[in-house]
Amino acid sequence: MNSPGALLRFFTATLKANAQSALEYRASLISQAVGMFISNGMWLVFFSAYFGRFALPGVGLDQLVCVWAFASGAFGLAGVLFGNAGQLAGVITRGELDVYLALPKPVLLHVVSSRMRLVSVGDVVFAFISFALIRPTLLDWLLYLGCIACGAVVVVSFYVLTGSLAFWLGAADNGATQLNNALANFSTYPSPIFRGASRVLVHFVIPAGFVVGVPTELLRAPAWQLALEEVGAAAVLVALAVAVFHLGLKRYTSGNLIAMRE
Amino acid sequence: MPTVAVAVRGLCKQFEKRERSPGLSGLLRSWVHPQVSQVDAVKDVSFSMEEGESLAFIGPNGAGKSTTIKILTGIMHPTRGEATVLGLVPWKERARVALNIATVFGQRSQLWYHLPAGETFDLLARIYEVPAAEYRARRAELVERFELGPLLGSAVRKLSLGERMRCEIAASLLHRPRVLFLDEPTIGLDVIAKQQIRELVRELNQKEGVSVLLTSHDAGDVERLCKRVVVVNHGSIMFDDRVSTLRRRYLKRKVIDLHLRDPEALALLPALPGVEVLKASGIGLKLEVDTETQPIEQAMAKLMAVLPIADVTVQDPPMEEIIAQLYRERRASTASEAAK
Repeated sequence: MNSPGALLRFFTATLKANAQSALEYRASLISQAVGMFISNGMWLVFFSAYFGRFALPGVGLDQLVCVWAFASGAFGLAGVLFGNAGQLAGVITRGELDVYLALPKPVLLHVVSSRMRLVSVGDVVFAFISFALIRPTLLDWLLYLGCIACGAVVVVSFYVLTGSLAFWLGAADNGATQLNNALANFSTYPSPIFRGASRVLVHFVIPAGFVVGVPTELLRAPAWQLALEEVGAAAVLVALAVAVFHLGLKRYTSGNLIAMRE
Repeated sequence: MPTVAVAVRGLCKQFEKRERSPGLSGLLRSWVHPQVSQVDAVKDVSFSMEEGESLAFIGPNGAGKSTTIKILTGIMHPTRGEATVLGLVPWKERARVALNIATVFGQRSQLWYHLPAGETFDLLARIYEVPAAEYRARRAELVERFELGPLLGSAVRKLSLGERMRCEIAASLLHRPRVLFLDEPTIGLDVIAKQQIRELVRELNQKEGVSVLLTSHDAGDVERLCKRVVVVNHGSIMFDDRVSTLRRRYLKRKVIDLHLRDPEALALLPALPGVEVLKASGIGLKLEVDTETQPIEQAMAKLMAVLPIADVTVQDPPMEEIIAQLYRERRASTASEAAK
């Protein structure tokens, strides 16, 4: 019933439905995607100007472009494939898990994959264009794709962990959003800026280090140890997220709000 | 021998309730000394339903109906007690239970709001892994039976509530479930749409043998869809028997509609104990008879003796009134027990 093949078919069908749902509003899709593309570009220009004035050793324009390529790639991929993950706290608080629980598929996979964020399409396009700007080799492209896939797993797992707080705290939407925003913010800075305690913070509390830091180092100097760190962090986070979500699910109290699937 | 579709024994569900005094000071005090109490949403509920049966599970708001259904569909874990659906424990074998049941929430849609219903049907066929040929045949059958042809191509957001509910129920039947849980399926619908939904569900129960467990505040749903009724209040079962027994036991009033030959004859109406005039105009007369004080045959005999009657009809009060009376009686007895 829930064999890997069956889950893949289910995931593909959900993705197709998400895409069809997003394409229902063509103007909205295009404007949001273009808006996100421009917004990312503006930030990149701002950061380039800032670090051009206050130079940081080891941080050049190429590295800034890389940071934004990894960050927007990971967040974009997470938003396109698992766009509901960031809404998890609200879904739990409003009792909207009922619909997913009544169906015979893994609840967590179903709920996080049941929406596509339109703005994320702009993120992904921006990510690929900006990465292409640093003239990558084929190996660079392979590393890049692997790293943004791991980064997306890290982002989604973190969203699931923050969203699952709602099982214990009740209305945790705002708290989860703040933590999710912190992950996005920390992911836009080059890794040399984080030292000492802040380096521990971005690896073990707000795991932005595995969205941007480790991938940029890996791209600069490919090493098996770094690759294992990246894959290992993604695996540990996803396992933790699944465990915490299912632990919380036992406390789920549903709700009585009128709700529709979007 | 009929098999058991749903079996529930000593089911309990408690929720935590945080209590605080009113006002800002109460709020701040509750931050320092939170007072948490346990509320019984479902209290020692036991009942069973055979395969092919249609059972109404009714009660006032907050009685524990929806919580029970959510436990039976694997949505929530109980605090204590046992329950099986088609021999499986829902909160332990949720996915296997979900494959064999369907749940329709009147206030919660499983259709994608922005997509045509037909697209959701395709997705649900994938979710339930219905083989393609089987799905095509079943879909065609449901489209015809539910008259969905013109609706399937429209985005769900553009459908009326009645049209959407027809699509919801059809969507829930694509995988041929053996048990159908309906949680207020006719809420907010107009009379025609209600009738359509009831007809379709009754047909499913009778022709396909789908077991139906229904919760509804609409007495019409109960009367037209179910043979047996379980009434729950404050989390406990108050009544579990046939709908006709419920009528008999709680039917203490009847309404008599009289058509007189002569409008002047109204003056001849005798004062009878237990008989109350609801309406009198021209040749029309509507009376309510308390059958415990005045048996209906005696009341009729006395009226026919003195009034020139052209036509007469005797009606039971609506089911709604019977259920309301049942709730009122129970509320009064609970209050008096609490006072003791």
